[in-house]
Amino acid sequence: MLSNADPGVRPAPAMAANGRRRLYVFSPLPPQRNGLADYIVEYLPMLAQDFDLSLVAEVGRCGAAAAYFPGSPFEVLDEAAFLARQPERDAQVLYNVGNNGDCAYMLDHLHRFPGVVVVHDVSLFYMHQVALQMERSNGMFNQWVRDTGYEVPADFVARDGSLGRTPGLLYQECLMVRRIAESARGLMLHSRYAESRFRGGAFDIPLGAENGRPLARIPHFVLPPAPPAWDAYQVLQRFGIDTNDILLLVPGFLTGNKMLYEVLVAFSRACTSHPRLKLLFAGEERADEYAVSERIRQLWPDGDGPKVTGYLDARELDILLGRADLSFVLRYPTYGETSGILPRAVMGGGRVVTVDIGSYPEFESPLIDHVSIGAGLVDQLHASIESLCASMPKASDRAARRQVEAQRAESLSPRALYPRIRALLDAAREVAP
Amino acid sequence: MNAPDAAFAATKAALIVDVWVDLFAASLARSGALGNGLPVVLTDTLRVLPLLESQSPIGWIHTSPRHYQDHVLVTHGQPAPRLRIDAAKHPADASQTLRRASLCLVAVPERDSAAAMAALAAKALQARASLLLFGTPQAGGWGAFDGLVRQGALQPVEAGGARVLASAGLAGALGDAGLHDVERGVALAAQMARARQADIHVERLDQAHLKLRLRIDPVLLVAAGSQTLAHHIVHEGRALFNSRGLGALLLPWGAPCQARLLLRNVRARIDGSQIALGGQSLAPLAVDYTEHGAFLKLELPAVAPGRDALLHLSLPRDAVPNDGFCDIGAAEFTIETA
Amino acid sequence: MMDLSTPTTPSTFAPSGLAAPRCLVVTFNRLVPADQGNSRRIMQLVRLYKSQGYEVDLLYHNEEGFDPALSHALAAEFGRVNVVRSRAPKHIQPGHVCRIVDWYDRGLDAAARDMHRLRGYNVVHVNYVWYSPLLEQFASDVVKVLDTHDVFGERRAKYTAAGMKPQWFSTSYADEDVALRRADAALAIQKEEAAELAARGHRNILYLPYVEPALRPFTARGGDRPLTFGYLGSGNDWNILSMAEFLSKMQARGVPFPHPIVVAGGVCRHVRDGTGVIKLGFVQELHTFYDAIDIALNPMVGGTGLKIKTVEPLCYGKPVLTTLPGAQGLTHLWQMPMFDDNAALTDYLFDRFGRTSGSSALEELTVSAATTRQALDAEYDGQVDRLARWLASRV
Repeated sequence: MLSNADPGVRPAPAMAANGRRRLYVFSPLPPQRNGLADYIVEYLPMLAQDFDLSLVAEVGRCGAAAAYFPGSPFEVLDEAAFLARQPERDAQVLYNVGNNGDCAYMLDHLHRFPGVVVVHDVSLFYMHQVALQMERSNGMFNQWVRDTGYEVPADFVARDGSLGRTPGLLYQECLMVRRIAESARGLMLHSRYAESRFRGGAFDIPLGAENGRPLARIPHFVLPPAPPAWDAYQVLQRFGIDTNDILLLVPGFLTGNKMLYEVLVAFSRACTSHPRLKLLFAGEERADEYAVSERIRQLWPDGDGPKVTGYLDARELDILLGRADLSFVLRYPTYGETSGILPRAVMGGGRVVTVDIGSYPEFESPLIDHVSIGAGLVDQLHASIESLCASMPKASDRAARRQVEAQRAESLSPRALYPRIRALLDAAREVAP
Repeated sequence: MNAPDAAFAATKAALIVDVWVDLFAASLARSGALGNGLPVVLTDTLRVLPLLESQSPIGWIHTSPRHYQDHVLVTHGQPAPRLRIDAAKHPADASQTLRRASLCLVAVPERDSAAAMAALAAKALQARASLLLFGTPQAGGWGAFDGLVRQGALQPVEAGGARVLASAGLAGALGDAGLHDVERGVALAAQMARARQADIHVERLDQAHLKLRLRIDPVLLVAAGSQTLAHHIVHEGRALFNSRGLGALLLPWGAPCQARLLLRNVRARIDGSQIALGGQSLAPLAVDYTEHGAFLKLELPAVAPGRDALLHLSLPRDAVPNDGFCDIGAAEFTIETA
Repeated sequence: MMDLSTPTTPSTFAPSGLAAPRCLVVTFNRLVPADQGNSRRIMQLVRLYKSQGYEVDLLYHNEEGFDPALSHALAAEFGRVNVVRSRAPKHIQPGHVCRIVDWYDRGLDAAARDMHRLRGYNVVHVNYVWYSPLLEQFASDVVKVLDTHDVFGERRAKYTAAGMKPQWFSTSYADEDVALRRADAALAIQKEEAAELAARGHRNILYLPYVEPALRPFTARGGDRPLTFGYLGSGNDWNILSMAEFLSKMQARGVPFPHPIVVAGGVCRHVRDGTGVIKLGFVQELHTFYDAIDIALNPMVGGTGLKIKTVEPLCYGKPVLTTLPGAQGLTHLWQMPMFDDNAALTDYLFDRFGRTSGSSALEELTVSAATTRQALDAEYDGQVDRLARWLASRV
């Protein structure tokens, strides 16, 4: 072999000599603004302790990701460097997959180098679409869809095999998880709902350790509550929230599936009897999905209606959740996602109303009321507001609730959940061919 | 020569065997000695034999899974997938291909378990194909072929630092010079160049060693790791990187060599490219920017035994176009067998 | 140098656990999507070979476009795909005579040889007589099949007889005879064509009709809409001429026809407005057209090769009213009325449907259509069986 002194050669870091097995993790990584990056970051210290850990960043992102983790006990690799090392008989791979374009690069690897797949979103239709668009290969999509056992009606398929139109139902029904299940050495989902839908999408792929694909249901972690903010009062003032107000909150991006209209109608009924009620839409508006500001102007032409805050950073949102007396965490349709807002809302100590569909009922707390989607939704929302007004808790009660929820959340902390992830990786290794 | 240098020389001499095998097999094919039969290569790693392939289609039979799609040129046509059969998944296909073989080249694997490959080699012998086994002397796979050796089907061939066994007919064809027949190599290169079958220049270094410079259509070497890229390569007939700027190239030889690659359609400097071979990260010796593209000059270390002969590259994001693909427009490899 | 070659191995299979027999299909037609008559016919044969246990490879002579999505789709359908760019000169001599030597692309030879060397085909299947020279690249141990798709000897005469300018390929009988003799079996898509070729002395002709799977049963329609007639056709010269003549005959009656006539496909561009028809234009999915009609019309004044529009309605459970030219190749098993020309077809329409709801006539036609379909299926099964037995005896 050429020696290190020869020009043009920089040896890669030595393989682990301490008996720890090598684990490659594919994931969006900081500084990418992606929830999956935030997710994996919480587990990295524990993974680095148990494994000889290498993170595989998408081409072009390796440098920025490596700079984010100076002095860390793991390396950040480029896809080329990962590929050049394969195959590695004793290494494992973990794919942190969600339904967004930042995960598309993993499709080039997870079938060839099978590993354990964390499936954050049970529908991966959009991710596959983006992957093909990025590769200028839209015409292959119809065949890809067929490979998952689904047939797109011909009216939606162009002659070249691309999707001419993508009706919303396709995102719900055509999960595009079958091939991923087939290749996987292990699978992780966050909820019973997601698992049942995933099994439906992987209809003919036997799952479970006995079939070489151990499947674990591990909830999304819940981070501990934010410490009290020193400027909470100023932030609340900025949004016009007084001490005596009964604050109703709709937190997060104001997308079209958050039942914003129903909340407005329920509020408009309730506020005639309860003048202290205030409704705040705490997030960035998505006017192309639902023009909530415009609707508020129509319903409250004098300008005394609910407010839309615009984009909030996490700290500001936590302040508002900590003050809200009732938060609405509504979704329809749901794609099986696990809500990150729901646990943050209950840790704020206020009551929370959420839907009884998808994964939402699986997060349990005495502070949560569930409502059913359908014609009676507005009545149910109105009733929950009336119920709140009829029995407003004292400040001390609220503080006690926060403490109880914080303690409950500890069992869902990354540290508490990590052993289950480790167990899944071990199980996958046991059954690997 | 000191001990490390001697060890290095011995390793290189063993690894250089694929160059000599390629030259010999190409000369057989060129002489018509293979008739209508197919040359078949048994291997457990991804590799190419460009000189033999310039004379004849080759059937590749793999005893380990492969993860890339590479291509051959089709006269007047689009590139087509290089025929590589996974013997475990398609045993009948492998057997049928061996039945049509007139020559079977066996790249003895490094690892101990080569039973599957030995069984395939035995089938080739049954089909009366000529057999040539080659590899490093210390390769763990040799043990699986002891049975064939004991049957007397194979004879040792002079091959410098490598170990080479051949069936009687081939051993005779190799003659006293064995595999390292410099005259054969020089003559073959001249013939192929005259016939425009390969752009190869061979220089005699001494009685036993050559310097080869091979210019090869990079479409013959590009390896696609995804379906989408493979089909773009077939459609465009170019050695493409994918839309993220990731690409892979088969190396013609496992021994250390120099490479010059022309990277085209790059929109920014590529000095920051990641280049990896096995566990090693490589820095280019030079990058020259011209109107044709960026010429990348590389000193390539040996391909570790038992590994695919694959060079992986990723280009800086800003070098990758939004509306097309970068490609490798030209590839030149230079190697000295000494 | 010693000769290290082994004798060419006849294409046989080793005893057990064997690789499937292999067939190489050669075509200039874009096979995905198979939405033209010829591509559908070729895919019929591909499915047939696969049903007989063959692995099928494709040598695509690219005249109808190539793109990554097609590459992907073909790779999913075929074992191995090679694509050769077409450089066939395709000269047309004065008098519209085409020589096979001018239409065959010698560039295919090397690709076919290389594919055969790698894959060892048992059968090579080419489409259209001007691809027959490719068969010479294969030795006698490879079974050679030529699907003719049409009779091309003096095909120009059919156009001139209909007052049209000859289109596309038309060769001499002598050239076509040479081409047919290169094949071990030449397939004819119509019984009449098979008879014509046999009459010219060819003993290697096999009639194999074009049939697609039945997608709808033959059932009586509900009363939710008026009795509806329909015609679906591309914008080729035969369809345009036929439709124009039919509609002029209908208008010449002087009274409106009391039932809607729906027209779909590329021919719509050539149908004048106000002619008493409803134009749908291009339909993406055939069932949307056929589910909207009760009786299909096929008013062909002539034409060559497969009349796919005669057979296709039977896949969707619809009877077809056709002229004799439209039924060519199927007259021996046709149970529904056939008409010498569009005048007779028009007379029938006004007689049976001009003053009534037509429901009893529709019922009769539906029964006849079902019987026709059964006869067609039986004939197809019989011919497939003949072909399969012949292949098995040769391979």
